[in-house]
Amino acid sequence: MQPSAPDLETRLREGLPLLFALVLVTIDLTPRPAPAGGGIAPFLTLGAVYFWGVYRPDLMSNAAVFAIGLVYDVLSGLPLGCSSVALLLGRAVMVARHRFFYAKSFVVIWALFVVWAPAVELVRYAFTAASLGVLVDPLPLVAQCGLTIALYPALSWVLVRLHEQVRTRAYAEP
Amino acid sequence: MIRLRRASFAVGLVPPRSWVERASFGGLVGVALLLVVFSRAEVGLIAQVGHTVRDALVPVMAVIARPNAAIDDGLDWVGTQFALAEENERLRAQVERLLTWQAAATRLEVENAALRDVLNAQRRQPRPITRTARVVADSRSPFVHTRLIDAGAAQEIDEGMAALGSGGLAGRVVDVGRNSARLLLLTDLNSRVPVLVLPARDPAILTGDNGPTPRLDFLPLTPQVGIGDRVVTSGAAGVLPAGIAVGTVVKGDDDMLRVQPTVDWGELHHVRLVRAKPLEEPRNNAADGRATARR
Repeated sequence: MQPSAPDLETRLREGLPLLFALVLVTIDLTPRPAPAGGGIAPFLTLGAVYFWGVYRPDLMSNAAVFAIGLVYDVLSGLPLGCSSVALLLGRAVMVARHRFFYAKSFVVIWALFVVWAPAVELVRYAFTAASLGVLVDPLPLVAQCGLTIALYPALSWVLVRLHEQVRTRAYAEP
Repeated sequence: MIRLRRASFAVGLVPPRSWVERASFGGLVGVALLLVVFSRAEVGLIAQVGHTVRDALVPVMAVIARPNAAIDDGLDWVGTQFALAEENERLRAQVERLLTWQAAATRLEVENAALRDVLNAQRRQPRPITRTARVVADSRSPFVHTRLIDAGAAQEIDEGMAALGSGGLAGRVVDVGRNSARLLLLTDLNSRVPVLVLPARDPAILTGDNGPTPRLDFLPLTPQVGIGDRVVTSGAAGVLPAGIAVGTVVKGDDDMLRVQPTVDWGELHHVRLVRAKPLEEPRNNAADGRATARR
């Protein structure tokens, strides 16, 4: 059966978080003037997965997180699955502790991101290192993580605006 | 400060103990782990899926990369406006120097042709096959130094083609999809490029180690390599054309001979892909002779 017009719109709006996260993947991997290793750039996708994992895990399902990680690996040339595993584990922690996040101030959420983001990056580093059989200097990843944490408030501001677009149709009706 | 309306976020929360959540989590982590294991084993199906996803996303990446390149060019333009007089002076001096070199090159070309005629030697190598592509994605990882380009098998890109950026060799093509391909940069851990160190013409292998300056390995027992010597591709193995500028020899912090690539990584928005023309199959004279006899 074909979904009616409002249903279709609702579904499209609910797909916005995933779509926006995929846009963030492409922004993360856009070439910038940098040395051969790619220089330091934020991993904004990580911020998006955290945001939806904290506030609306229903809009960023496990399947969506898996797809985001897979697309990231395909485009970046990393062994497939490394980013997916790390992001899925990260989201699972958010979902398991979702009651804790309810009614917390932004500063607390941001402070937890300072712990969560390096932990997820550490898991990704471990899986990539194991898959490639090589250890590399983790300093660029530390710098990347720091930049991602610094930019999280700005990213949150955008994602809050995006959430308003998702909510309009899906939850405004009585 | 960002204020999130609590009521709006409370509505859609998924109960963490829901069986759908648990099952999908377990299943997808399992699939991801299998991918981690099999992606290194180069299973054909996984590679094919990867190529398909990549080919589909490359046009999007190209659109997103375009304004970035434009901003970079704009900033460069603003920078050059401030140093216009100085830049003019530098370019004048460079033109003067290059004109001298051009005269020398023309004289040598004529002399070379005359000597070849005297010796009845083979003419110079045919022109290499070249293509141009846009760089659309960066690996952004200390593990792999690669770039994604928006041209693939459909644009006659082959594995092994040399990728040239502004200043010299940047890397080579390693993984070709239909409309996309991956470049392995000189600095990547898996990069090996046969090179010659000039002027002594000492052969070596340029080995990447994920650092900014790749190592010079397999030098002759008594190498005549000096700091500042030029390094070019040797053309050994017949894949990369010979004589492409690679970099200059430097001494690394580990006291090893390393090469500072001449390519400008910051300007790597487009690459020229070059392949040495494949050597012709040797003609089977005996078979030709039999065919002629039959006629």
